[in-house]
Amino acid sequence: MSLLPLAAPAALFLSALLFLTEGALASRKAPSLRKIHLPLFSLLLLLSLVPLLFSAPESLFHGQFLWDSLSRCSGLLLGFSALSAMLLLPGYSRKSEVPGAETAALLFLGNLALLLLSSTTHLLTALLALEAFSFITVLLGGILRDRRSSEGAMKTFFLGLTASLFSLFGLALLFGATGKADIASLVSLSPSPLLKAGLLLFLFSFLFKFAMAPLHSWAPDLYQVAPAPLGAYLSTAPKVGIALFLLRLSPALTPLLPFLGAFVIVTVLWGNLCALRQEDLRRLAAYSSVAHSGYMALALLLPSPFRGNALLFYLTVYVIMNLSLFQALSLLPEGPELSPSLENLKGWGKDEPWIAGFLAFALLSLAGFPPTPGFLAKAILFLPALEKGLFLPVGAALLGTLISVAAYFRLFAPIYFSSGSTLKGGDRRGRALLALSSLLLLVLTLWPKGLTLLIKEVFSHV
Amino acid sequence: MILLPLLFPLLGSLLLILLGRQLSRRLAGFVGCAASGLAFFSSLFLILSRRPTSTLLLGEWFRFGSLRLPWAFLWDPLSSVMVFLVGGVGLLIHIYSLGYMEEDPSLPRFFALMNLFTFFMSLLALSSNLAVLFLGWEGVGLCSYLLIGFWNHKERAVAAGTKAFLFNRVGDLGFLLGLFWLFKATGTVDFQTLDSLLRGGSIASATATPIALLLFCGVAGKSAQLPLSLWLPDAMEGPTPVSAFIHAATMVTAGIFLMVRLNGLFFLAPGASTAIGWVGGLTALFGGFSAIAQRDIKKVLAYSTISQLGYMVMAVGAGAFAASFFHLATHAFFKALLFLAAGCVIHALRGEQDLFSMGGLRKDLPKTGVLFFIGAAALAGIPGFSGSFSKDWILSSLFLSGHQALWALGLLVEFLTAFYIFRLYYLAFHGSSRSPERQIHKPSATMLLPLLLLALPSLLGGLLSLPAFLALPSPWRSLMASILLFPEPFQGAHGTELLLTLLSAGAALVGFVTARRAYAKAPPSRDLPSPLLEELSKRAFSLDTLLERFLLTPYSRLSAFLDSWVERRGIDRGVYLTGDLFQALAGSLSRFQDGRLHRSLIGLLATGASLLTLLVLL
Repeated sequence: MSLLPLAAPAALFLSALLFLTEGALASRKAPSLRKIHLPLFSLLLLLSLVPLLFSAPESLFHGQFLWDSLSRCSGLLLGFSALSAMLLLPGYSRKSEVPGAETAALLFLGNLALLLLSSTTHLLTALLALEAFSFITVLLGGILRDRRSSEGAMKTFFLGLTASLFSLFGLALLFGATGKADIASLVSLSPSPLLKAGLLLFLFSFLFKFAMAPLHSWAPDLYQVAPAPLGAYLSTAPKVGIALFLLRLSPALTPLLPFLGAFVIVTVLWGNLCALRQEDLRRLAAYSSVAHSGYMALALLLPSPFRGNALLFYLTVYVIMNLSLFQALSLLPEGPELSPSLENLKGWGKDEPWIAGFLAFALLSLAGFPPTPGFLAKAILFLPALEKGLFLPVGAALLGTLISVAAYFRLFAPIYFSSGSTLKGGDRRGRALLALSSLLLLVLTLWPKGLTLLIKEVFSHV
Repeated sequence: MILLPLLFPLLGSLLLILLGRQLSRRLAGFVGCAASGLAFFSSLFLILSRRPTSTLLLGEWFRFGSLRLPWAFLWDPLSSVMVFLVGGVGLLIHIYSLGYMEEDPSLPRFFALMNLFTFFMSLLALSSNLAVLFLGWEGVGLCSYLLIGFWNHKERAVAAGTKAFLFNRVGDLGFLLGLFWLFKATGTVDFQTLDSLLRGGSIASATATPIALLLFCGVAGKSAQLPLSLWLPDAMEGPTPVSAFIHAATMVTAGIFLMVRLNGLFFLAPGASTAIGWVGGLTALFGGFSAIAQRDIKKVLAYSTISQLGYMVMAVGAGAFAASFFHLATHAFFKALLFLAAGCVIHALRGEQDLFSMGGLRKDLPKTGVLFFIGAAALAGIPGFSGSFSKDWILSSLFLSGHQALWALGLLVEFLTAFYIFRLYYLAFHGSSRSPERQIHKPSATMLLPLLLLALPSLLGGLLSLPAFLALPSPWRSLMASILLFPEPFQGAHGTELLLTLLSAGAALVGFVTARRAYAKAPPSRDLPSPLLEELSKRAFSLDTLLERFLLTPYSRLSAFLDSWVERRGIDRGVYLTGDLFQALAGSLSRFQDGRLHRSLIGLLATGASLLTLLVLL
């Protein structure tokens, strides 16, 4: 047994420890972001990505930690998300209220939890990792420590706790019924009512954290109060961890497919419909991410080779375009009582043509317009689903997409068709990051084959 | 080699379009004329070198299913004559324009468009299949539109350009349908393949008839046949050289050219031919009669062009393709001459176009007067002038092919033609001046020289095709014999032909004498004996008004109805309702979520409970 696969989690853990120590030692007067934090964070994060280069698939601790190419994929996406969040912070309008070392440590710990979640085949470990991350969620969401953010974070915490109880109960049922709690054994067992009930209840917390309607109600509240750079992280990283874990779990989910289908239908419709009415940009982004969770869950309903391909493609594209959206939102100033709304986008098209163009590109992609990667991701997902006869969920997803077009296009009106004084915010780094995300989207538009080939490689090793 | 007549005008126009603003006006004019001249002399060289019939393939244009369209060009007697005509008349009019457009600020644009037109017209003439021909066909339409509206500060000019374009669109729809049908029926649009198919008898008359009729729609649009003639008089808003070149000598004859090119197809569709003959006859009568009471010098010539095109179409309807094409050639020269001479008059009078303000110009513009008279005589068909040969040929063909009614109509129009053109001549050049303080702006040599060079073929062009009864060699007939798929089915006794010639000469002379008696001294108060006829002629049978009342008004009412009821109240409202529905749904959904913890908790527990219930039930 080689311990080499543990290098990645260990690196994340040690980095977090380092930042915690730094934060404790630093003077109490300046808890905020310091100059040293950014390069240190980037360096450590890049170091923690190095173990991803070593590929030999290995299962440790009886399957509690499985190191394969899917985990490496997860590590990469999580790293991108965390790096994006951290790099956005210096340009964030309320950066003085954000404790830098704490945030960095939390991002590392969050990545650690999510990496474990996506690298386990044992349900108990998964639940523990998820719970660990829910603390991170609360801490990151409420990091501004004013009344609104504390309230939003606490609400999320309470709701999450309740959802976890369901999962714990479900796990108990499962273990009681079968005596096993690893995925491989669950797949091999014939489904009994108790097993089905156990699995369904176990899924509860995961669907909750994945923001599937009607379990999504925490998401808009949390995204609205979290600083936009951390919103970028909170709306992408957990989706990566949970989606990849659900992908591992999916062979065992066969008896629950109708329930999942119902969740998909409700989620895509609810998410997009609610997005249609939002004035607050971060609430809009939250509902949009709810809807996209629905699309990704649709991938879980597909038969085997399509399932992984569609999910991983969609997930990658989603991470990039959602980060673009939040990167653009991070450029808008915020305040204790000021939350950016559609009004604040007025005149962007004229004053900030590049930024507005990048945002428009991300919006088109989120809405699934051809030939953007968002369209391709949906095509790769919907076509096999139609072939498999999933007419109801695909129909709902198509209808949801149609509604989402209206929701996203509401942003074009202030950006391009009205003038106003633009509220300036953000710095060079934020703009460069947005440009980088747009570039990635552009590369995926022009050469989507690159990603499909990568994905193929991922699954050839699993 | 055969691409030279295409290449030079294209280069000229590109040069003028790209660099027109940088070039000096003199240089721009020179480039325009040089391009046109090189095109003409290259076609002259090709003709003199007796180049045999040949096709040139220049790669593939596009391929679609079984349809393969090459860039193919055909050099044969028909295309060579057409290119020669376009080049020759074009060169003279280019030179003339140097003088006429001297003071115009957008001279480079003018020459760029004239060169571009020459290119498209030569493309049309040299095309070896119907698709390439259609490209040229549309190209000349575009140039016509741009040149009618050349003075785009004049609202009427722009409107006239649009009108011409729209009328042509109506015709082109038929043309395209005909083209598609032809391809469906025969699998080819190549002229030579088509000819062999037609000669081999593999195309039935029942197939040929609808195709011929559809193609004739395009002809009617381009060659201003009823009911699509109305754009041509309005097209006179363009500069006079444009009227001479495009709307008299060349572009409007493209329809005739097409029918001669496809003579086998039209020959095999006798039903269509009869209809075409009558359309031509009525158009000839319409144009001739409407020309009588016009006051505007260019309008008279425009209606005259309609009328002469009617002659050509009539001849095609009777199967006399050679005669029709001959009239096309002679008409090109003398109508260009007439227009350019009229241009001299307008130029001399600083834009005055009203005949009743002219008079007595013989003394001020003696050379123009003589040259105009030559053109008028050729148009009227006074024996000896070129027009008489071509027109007599058409009339005798009509009679001999059994279309006696059409022949009588043609004879009447011959009389009308002589009458209206000499009315114009006497009103403008004889009598005494009717506007007291006029200053004459003498035409320059660059304007008079082209007139002189056009007058020569107008005088002598008839020698190319002497009447059959003279039994002399006729180069035109032998030339045309090679391009006609089927021999002309009529051959009359020499005595009959002689008599027919005498009759038509008589009609022309009677028209001439009538006009001379009425207008030589002072203009009468009325042009026609009855006020009703006078009004009819003046308003060209009120066709414009009729069109407006019975087509445009109902159409715009229908549009308004569709807009307000179907579009706004039907479709739009439906769309908005859908949007409102979703908005309302979204509103009621977001009411669930007001950020209160207990509601969220209840939602969470309710979801869990209902899931378990469902699990038990299923």
